[in-house]
Amino acid sequence: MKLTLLNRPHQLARVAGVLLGITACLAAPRVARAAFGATASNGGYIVNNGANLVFTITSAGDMSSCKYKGTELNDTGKASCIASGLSASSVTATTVSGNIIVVKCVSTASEFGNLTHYYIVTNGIDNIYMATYPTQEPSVGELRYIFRGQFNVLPNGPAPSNNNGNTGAIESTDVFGHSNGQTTSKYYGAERAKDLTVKGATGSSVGVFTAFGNRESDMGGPFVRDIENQGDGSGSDQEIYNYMNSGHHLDLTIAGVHEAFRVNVLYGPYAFCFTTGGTPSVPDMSFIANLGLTGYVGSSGRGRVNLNGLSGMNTAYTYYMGFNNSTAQYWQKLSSTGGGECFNMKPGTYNMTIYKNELSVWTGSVTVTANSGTSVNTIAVSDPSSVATIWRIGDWDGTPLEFLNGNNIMTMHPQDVRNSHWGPVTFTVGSSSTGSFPSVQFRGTNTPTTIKFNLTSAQAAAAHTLKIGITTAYNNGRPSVTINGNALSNPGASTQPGDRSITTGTYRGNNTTFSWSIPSTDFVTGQNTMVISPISGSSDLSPWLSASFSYDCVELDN
Amino acid sequence: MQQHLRFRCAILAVAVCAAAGLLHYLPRDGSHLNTPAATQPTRATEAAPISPDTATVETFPTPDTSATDEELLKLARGIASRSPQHAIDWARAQTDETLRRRCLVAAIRAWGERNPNAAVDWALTQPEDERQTDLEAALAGAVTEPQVAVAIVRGLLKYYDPADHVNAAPALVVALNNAGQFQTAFDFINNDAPADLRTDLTRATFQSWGASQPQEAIQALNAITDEALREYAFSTVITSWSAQQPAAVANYVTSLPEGDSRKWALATLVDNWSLQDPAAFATWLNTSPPGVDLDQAIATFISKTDSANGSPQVAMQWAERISDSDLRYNSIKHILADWNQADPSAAQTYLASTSSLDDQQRQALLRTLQAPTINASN
Repeated sequence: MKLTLLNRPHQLARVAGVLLGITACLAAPRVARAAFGATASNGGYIVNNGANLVFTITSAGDMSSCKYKGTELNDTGKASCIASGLSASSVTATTVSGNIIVVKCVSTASEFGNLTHYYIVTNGIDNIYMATYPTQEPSVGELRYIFRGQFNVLPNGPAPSNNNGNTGAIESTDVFGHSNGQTTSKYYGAERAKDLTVKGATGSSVGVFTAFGNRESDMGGPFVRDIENQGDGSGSDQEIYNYMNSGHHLDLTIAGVHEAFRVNVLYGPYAFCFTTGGTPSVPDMSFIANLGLTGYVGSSGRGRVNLNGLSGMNTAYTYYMGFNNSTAQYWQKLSSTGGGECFNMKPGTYNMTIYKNELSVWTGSVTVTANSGTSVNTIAVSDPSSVATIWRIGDWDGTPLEFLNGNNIMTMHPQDVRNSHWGPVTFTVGSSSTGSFPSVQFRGTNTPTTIKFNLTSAQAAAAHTLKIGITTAYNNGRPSVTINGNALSNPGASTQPGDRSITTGTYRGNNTTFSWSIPSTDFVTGQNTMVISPISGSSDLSPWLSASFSYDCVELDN
Repeated sequence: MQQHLRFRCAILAVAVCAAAGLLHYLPRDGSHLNTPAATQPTRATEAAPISPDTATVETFPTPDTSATDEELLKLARGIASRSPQHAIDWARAQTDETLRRRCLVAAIRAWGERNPNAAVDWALTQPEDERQTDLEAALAGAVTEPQVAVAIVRGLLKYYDPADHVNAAPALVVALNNAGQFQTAFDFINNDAPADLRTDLTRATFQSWGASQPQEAIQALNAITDEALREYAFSTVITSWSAQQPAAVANYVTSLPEGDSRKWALATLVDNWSLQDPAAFATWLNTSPPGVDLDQAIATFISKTDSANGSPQVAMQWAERISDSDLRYNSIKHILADWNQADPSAAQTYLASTSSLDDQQRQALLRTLQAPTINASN
């Protein structure tokens, strides 16, 4: 047999090849397993996840290097980090059960007070899991993790936030114009908190994605949007974020309670996932329950709420139930009959809100106890759309999406060429389409909006209530109205988040309804003319950064 | 089945009586229905569905997805007047899923207006994920004759397995409220609704009632014997009423005795009125009777107004009336922020000369006024 083999060199080579292959197959895992571990380095650690990742956590608790299959993904000059750098006073690494590494970074810098941030890997899985426990809100006024990738390595980020090739800032220092008239910004293209799954950027055979994870400690409820990505352009960074809270949402009110930064609670777990370019599924992070992270509440310490159903639903809309208190927030999409169950809630008493799309149509409270379920009977919601009207433009759902350019607010600046002309618009009830009514009323751009409508003699002989619903406002903008030249009283300013909103990709503020009881003497039989303009005592900074508000609905009640 | 038929006959009798104006004389306990007092739970799904009339196939117009609910209902009424089956078929023929559901709701409602018993019976046989909305649609039509609708739901709760029909109670209350039949809804809640639903149903009713017939709603509060529930309903009425008619609420609130209710109602009123009509609110503040918490009211008024509502000088006169130091400081700060934009010289002159601030507050405000604001380029 041996001679035969010797006389057949090709076959010998084939057998040798097979043997080598088997050896290689057997050896490969051993090499990976041998590499798994955390090695102390300059006060920090170099972590090998036993698969394709090797990353460096500095003594400051930041990630200065992140290599995937040997390719450096991280900016070589700026680290990935919490805020703009953790300035940790303590960085320790622990191996759990031989296949999990936990790097714990504690910062007592004045801007953080006492913040703990965790980097976690499991052997053979190309994810870096994270969790963050702040005892005070960082002085910068936001809590975020930023992965600073190299743009040249990860050039394919979400288009709305890809500033590559821009021709300069068009608003502040963070909204950019392009030669084709389009606009991009880190604010654009973000999903509502309830829709967050994974998002990131890719390059040649590589992809980095945030898995946004548990949002119970964040702020603002299910419908807020925050920065997810910024492509700084060639030679600079591809920034991939997990914003856990920010001042963008301060002054949002849920169930009558001002949202505030939640502290002394664990944020996450969340993760950064590394792939060969494909979009990963949301990773399972349940193993983190066993790691003893500060602030982690296991499933046995949690309860649930079961809602039997809703009455008064509008079949054209999706409904949600939301919960909030000073410790946590949750939400759950409801079934077509309004039933649903919200799981894994921390014990406590919560404000409970039923949303018709993004509009609150019921509020109450519910108490959750650990390891138990709380049942809520069928709730009768109060829908403003059930009021009889002479006319209604749009519908009450807490969004301006059905109006002119409404669907573009989240992905571009209002001056972007992809928007239709903003107006001023004249809308004729009965003949104009809803989509021609402006989603936003800017004092400096498309004011006024004129509504023409007919009244019968019987209608004109009666007083009617005018309602204008808004979803947010900028610069204290609110509607000032005239009917057939008669000025109605000027309302006060609504309470809204103080930041820019409409030009930074969101219409989500506090839904507010302004109403006027209009005497019959203001009406005429036949055609009536209503004019809406924003008013504010604050000065405008530009045609777009002018006193403004986004519409939810306008109606004249019967 | 026999029981079901008896029930339907009884309901029909009630309908006839109601139409004849006789319902008022019938006892409310259902003893007139000739139905056994001890009920045997019967599932709705066991009852034979009553099919809509069948007729020859006709072509009906396809509505646009932008059609309003009122327009769809009008269309459905026209079709249902010829045959409910046609209306259902027309709705189900729509290709857009949302439009299909909306048309179906309109068709069932139109059917309910014409034949409430049949429409409700049919709705109860529908698949679980549609049953509730179908039932609500049928009852929304049925409430054109409110007592008939009440009798139907009362019968469902009384003569069938209540667990199966517990959702009929909120469906009826929503339908009655939307039709403006608040007293009927309230009577139903008190007399027939399952006990564990009464709080939520009462609140839902008074929320709608307070928004459209507040005086009647306030009067009806007296009929609530449970103190906690009455407080609950009271707060609901004040909230919705103050959004509609703040001046009327102001008159009402000042007639209330001192106490938590008055304090809460006043705070709600101030919050709403200062948003909706600050000028009228300011006039009322000027003539408000003793006992009103002026400090908080003025502070709220100032926090929601700016030079679009009145001059900074006038606002400052209001702010200086606040006796609480912190409230006064925050109100002056709010006014100065806008004033400094429009006329920095006047704002800073005021700041330097006012005696309403101590030196520490003055310095803090100076720093605030000098803080940079966001810039817009291009």
